[in-house]
Amino acid sequence: MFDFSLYTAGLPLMGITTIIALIGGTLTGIVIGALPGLSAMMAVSILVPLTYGMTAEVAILMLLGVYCGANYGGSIAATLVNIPGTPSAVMTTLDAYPMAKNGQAGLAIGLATMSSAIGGFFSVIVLSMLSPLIARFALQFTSLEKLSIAIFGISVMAFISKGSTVKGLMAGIFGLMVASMGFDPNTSILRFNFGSIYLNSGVNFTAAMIGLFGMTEIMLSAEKKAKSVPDKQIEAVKNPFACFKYLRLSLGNLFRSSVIGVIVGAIPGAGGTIASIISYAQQKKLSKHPEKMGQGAVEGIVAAEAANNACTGGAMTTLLSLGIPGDAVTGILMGAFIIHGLQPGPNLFNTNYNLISAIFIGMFLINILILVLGLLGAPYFAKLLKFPRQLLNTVILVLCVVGTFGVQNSMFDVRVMVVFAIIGYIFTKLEVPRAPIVLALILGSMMEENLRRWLSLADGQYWAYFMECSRKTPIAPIILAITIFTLISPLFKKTKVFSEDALDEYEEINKKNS
Amino acid sequence: MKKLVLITVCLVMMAGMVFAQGSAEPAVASVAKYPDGDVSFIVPNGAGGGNDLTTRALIPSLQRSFGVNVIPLNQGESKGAVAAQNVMSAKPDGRTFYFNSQTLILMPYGGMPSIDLNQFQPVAQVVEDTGVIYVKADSPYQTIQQLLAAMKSSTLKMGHNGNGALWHLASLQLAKATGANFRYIAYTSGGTQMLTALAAGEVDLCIVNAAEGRSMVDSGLIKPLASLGETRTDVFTIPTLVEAGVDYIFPVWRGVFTKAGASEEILAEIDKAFKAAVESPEFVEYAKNNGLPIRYRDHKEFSAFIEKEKKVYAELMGSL
Amino acid sequence: MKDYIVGISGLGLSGYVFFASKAFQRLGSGLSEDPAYYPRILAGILAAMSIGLLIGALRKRNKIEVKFNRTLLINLGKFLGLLIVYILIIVPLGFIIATALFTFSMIWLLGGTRKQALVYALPISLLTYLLFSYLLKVPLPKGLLQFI
Repeated sequence: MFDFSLYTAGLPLMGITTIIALIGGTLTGIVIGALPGLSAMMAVSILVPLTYGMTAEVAILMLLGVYCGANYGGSIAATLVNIPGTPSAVMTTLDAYPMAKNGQAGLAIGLATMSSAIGGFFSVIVLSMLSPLIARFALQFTSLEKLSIAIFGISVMAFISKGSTVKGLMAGIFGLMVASMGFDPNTSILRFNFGSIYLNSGVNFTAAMIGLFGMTEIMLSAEKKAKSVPDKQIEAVKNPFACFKYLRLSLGNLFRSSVIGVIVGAIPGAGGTIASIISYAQQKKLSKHPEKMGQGAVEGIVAAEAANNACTGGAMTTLLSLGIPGDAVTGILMGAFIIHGLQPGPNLFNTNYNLISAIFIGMFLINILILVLGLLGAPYFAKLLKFPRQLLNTVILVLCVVGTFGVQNSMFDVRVMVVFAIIGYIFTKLEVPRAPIVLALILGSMMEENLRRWLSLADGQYWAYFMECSRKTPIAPIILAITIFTLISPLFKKTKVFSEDALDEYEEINKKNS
Repeated sequence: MKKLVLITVCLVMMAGMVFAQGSAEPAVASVAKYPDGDVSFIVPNGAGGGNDLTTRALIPSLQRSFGVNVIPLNQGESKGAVAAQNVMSAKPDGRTFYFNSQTLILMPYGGMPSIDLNQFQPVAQVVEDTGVIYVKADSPYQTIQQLLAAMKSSTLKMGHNGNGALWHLASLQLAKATGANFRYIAYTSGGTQMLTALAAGEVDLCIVNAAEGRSMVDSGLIKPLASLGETRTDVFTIPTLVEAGVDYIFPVWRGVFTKAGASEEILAEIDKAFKAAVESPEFVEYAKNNGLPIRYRDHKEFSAFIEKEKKVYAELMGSL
Repeated sequence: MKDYIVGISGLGLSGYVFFASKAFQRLGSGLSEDPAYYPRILAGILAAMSIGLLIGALRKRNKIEVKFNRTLLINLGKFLGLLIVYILIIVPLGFIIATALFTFSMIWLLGGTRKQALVYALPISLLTYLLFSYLLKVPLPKGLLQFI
């Protein structure tokens, strides 16, 4: 007998405030996503502080709306001005922009909207079916399993982030070091607090994150004296509804791309960008007319957008069932959960059953909203691209400052935020990726706590206890073996990891187009 | 031209800084009426936690009594040390409240020697909670008697929420009272994490309050065996430890403090307001829903009680 | 060049962590009772990677190119300076005044016109204040404007 209560228990939480927050969040997400330079990561990080006064379900659903909305919104700028509004819309530019140049901007946006919504739907279904099962299983996890998952998360994330693997790992270690500041989890001895009681429990995560992703972005765009985009001609958006004609033809493509999206989304650290690259490359291999991809092909848009939005459900699956964020944005979402007194992880299914249910229902609604708002609002979103950037950037700066202050009413946190903005800026200049730091900050305490706890459980007999744990469940050794394999595999293969070829291709096509 | 104006603006801002530093503290006139402005209520935890919710349940009634805004301030950083420091540096005008439990008394022992307990004036106790001993649902110890016997014959693994923290202390005292020898395993992220580990079989037992364990008991993952209160808890039908033959109770009080030095008249006003708040329907309903036993003590009773508690903990921490 | 900087800073940081952790008090003999254990593992890994990165950079023998853009640095300095002044004046001057001054200068610094700066500074400041202190109940510093 299948228990449906998980899918209905959240209905009472979906009051009018929640629905308004959901719509507001999705709309804000689409708008922020549509503006080049403002990513989903930044959108969620500067909006987390807006949720302090709200109840948990309103806050979480609003942020989920922002997350999914921003992921979709990136395709609008990609289509109209050939600049990915969020990094994950990179592959969308390839076909959507040529299509728009042919006078079919409406169709391109329509296709992107439809595929995003369907990819999103699919991922929510997977999320709601799989996460309760994984969570039940994960409740049995002890310190050793949690430790190995944390190690796996950090190594994979450093591995797939843009640029050099070594630098990615170094950024990860830097994040872990920052996370180890403050009370030692096992003995409560103070470490690295630099004599300040404000650092007794380390650096505030939200402050660091707003610095790294909110303020650093503004610094980077400020130095360019960023102009607003519209020097270029923006194509008129007409009749986005035409996309449904292509729905039947693209069913296979939609399904395939969504599956890829969900799987990539569930891998810690890998997000929409990688999903859309893989899915695009896959589609090119299977396509009957691969030569047309990159010149305004329908299948290109569908593959890229379905995959990058399907990531959202995949990333939420690991967050809710294991307490491990699937990408940097869900990492920030995890911070929001914690601010509201909720610890994401298998136990959430026991303690906050209704909330989990509300998240499932909410994500369904968000994808419907994306479809409706996207198709109806497309002509208006195009106008956004003309908004003066210096105003927007200034407002964001103010929000970064106030938002950080609001976390725990502390000016100290604001200083921390600025320090991390500078760190983020320097890192970017040195081509060290920033995303691993965020994940390391989150996974750091999980890693050390579990490591130290496992050591104290082992009581000196480390190897014997490891064998004893492994005999009970072989999960930990398996995960550790996979980790070692992922870390050393590039030593044996000369081929590039995760088809950077596709990225090169992207640059090539892009050159041709512009 | 543009540069010039920018520089001017900067200068104005700087001047503002210097000027404002001198005048930011408005002179406090002698208090005719209490309170003469908004009251802040510092919570040493983030929003959404137990202490935060309890504070927020008190606030509506306090606002009615005082006739001013009562603003909750969440200052969870550094395990509440910053919040405590802020209370110590507040003005002794009874307009800064601070909510905490035993955790406050433990702070000077837990790596925060700068916290001076004499700077805190107890104002009102609102809750008297206690710990419950939990085991895994399919644990070999299904009654408190079996567990007590096992404690004596073997070294059980006891989960707690961090060295020198509340439940660590409860388990240390339990060990002292029963003569048991535990191996202590720390779960610094708190109760939920500890109970999850208990359900997964990583530790043999742990002590947390009734409210925190309820949802997991309802899902059949863990089992409560005995409570450490003077009287039985309303949440589960389990005996107290005293009934099981161990002479040990562990009351967990939660209450409100202010900066020491407020006059007796002000404290009397505060007493009235808190008594009304604790009896207000909002708070009573909140406490009932969350399994928190209400226990009101006014500032005199509470101060006397705190003095006693300080001695108990000084002795206990000294013996570690 | 970039790799050199990253490698050397990495080595420096791991050295610092290693020596700073010497001072931590140990509560017992087990690894779990040693607060320095975990930071030192991290320091070791970081040092190894930094050395790897440096060796890689040496072997590549990249031509050492130092791009030093003066205007860019000055702009960045102004930006940070403004931000730091803003943070320092929020508490004494109060949020509304400080933010109005900050937005005014920042819009300008980021390339807006004087008109934009004048028109938008105060509304942005007031709206944020209202949003946070009334809607979201975050008590922002009032500073000089104690009466509101």
